[in-house]
Amino acid sequence: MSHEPRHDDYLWDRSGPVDNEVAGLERRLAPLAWQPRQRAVATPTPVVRIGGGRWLRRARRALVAVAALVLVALGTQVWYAHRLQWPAAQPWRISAVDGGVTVGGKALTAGGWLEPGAVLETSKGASARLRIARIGEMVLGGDSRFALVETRDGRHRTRLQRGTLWARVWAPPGSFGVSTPGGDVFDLGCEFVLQAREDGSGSLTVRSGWVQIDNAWREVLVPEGARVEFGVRGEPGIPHDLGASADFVAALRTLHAQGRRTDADGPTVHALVAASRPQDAISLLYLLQFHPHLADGPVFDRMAQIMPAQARVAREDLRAQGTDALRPWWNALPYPRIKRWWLQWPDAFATGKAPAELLDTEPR
Amino acid sequence: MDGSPGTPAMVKAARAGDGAAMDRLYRHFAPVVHGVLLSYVQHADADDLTQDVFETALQRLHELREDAAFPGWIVSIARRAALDAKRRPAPLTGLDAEPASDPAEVEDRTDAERSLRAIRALPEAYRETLVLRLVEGLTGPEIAERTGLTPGSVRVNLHRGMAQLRERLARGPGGDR
Repeated sequence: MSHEPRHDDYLWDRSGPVDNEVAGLERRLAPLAWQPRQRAVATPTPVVRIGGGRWLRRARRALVAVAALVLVALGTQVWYAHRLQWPAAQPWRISAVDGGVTVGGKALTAGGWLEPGAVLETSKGASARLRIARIGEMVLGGDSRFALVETRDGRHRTRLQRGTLWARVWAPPGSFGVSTPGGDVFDLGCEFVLQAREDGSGSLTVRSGWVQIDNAWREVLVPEGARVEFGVRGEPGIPHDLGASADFVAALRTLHAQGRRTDADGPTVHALVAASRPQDAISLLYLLQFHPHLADGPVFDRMAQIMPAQARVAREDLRAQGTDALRPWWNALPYPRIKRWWLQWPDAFATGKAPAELLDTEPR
Repeated sequence: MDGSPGTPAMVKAARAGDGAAMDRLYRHFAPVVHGVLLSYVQHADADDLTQDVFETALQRLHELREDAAFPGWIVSIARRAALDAKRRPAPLTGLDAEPASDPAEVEDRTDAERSLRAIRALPEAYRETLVLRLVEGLTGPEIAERTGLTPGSVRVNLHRGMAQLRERLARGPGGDR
């Protein structure tokens, strides 16, 4: 990798003439730095006790059972470790192609390999199926332009310049990422379909787990069974459940587009609330998160009605604490926890479904 | 880059249950872990999560294959912890809600948060490196040593990230969205 020009010595190691802008940022940001304190981490002290004596026979049987379980656990661990390992820059396998597919401009008629930096393009109606290192698989739909940017243990980054991509990954959150003209998308243990256009617009449909969108506008987490659309230049809308009615989605788009100008008790809000189902809580909550003034109207009352009684949020708390007060509702949403990504274990296995079915974003 | 000459030795001793070595590891790498977390989550969360990350790392130290790989390994644990924490809505809310006393302090804190928000809006690679340099006060060579990145990569990230940050800050308050 080439080095940048040497006029940034102060930025590099505080040598050379002081860069006033860098020094100003250092001064402003220093209070946010780590404050040294005593480590309060408990030292792990595994303790093993093996019983004996008159229960010897029973203990032997138990030991055999434990040994069998340990063997299974070790086997699983070895398989898991192997799955996550991937030599840096090793090409990905293209397992199947259908129609016009090129890699680096050269036509591909059967399987092949995609190296970091190489561009894979599909013509209209074509598709290509690839292994994502060892952590999952993906399918590119027709009229797509895709590149592998970086691949190594725990970090696989790609770029979808345009087109449609289906991916299913079973690995710790953040292992697989796709950048698009509108922003970056990171898997948090999941299956999803991503559509991207060169003007930044597109959509993301999540089928299992969670997916994170990160761009200059904001960061949005989209749970399984939900979709979010991006406007031109990548502005993400409000995620909505795939089963939401057309009236609900239309009202949601209008409200989000109006932003702060929205009347919290206006006709669009009432139309939204009237069309809402319990499964639409994710959208109502995002609305309150992004447009807190809507809490003065029926959106808040509808959320209070939908959410479990033990997850209590008060309007006064929202006014006093801001959107942090919404946390009990976020925690009560009926989606899998990202920490438990491994529970989506069926995603670890290859699917035999056809590309057209995988790339279909309609509710199932 | 495989960490400072002392890192593998500290890791080896910590594996053997040496409490003093664990403390040394903690003090040496806490700013890096905190900086990586702060690149994604709010300040108050980053403080708490730093403890969690070390707790996880020390409990899983036996899984680390090479002692010298500790810097990259702990950074990846911190990154995952941050992504997990972002499942909660707090990162979307902007400023930390902290009691204010002196208006000048409030202004300083707001300036700091605004600058941090502008850094967080940068691409991932630049964001983490700039937080480690500008917030945690580490120099480029220290960042390379404690993250497992090469000095060349760190220098490039700093240079390009700073150029984008200058542009973003020059655009004014709306530019750091």
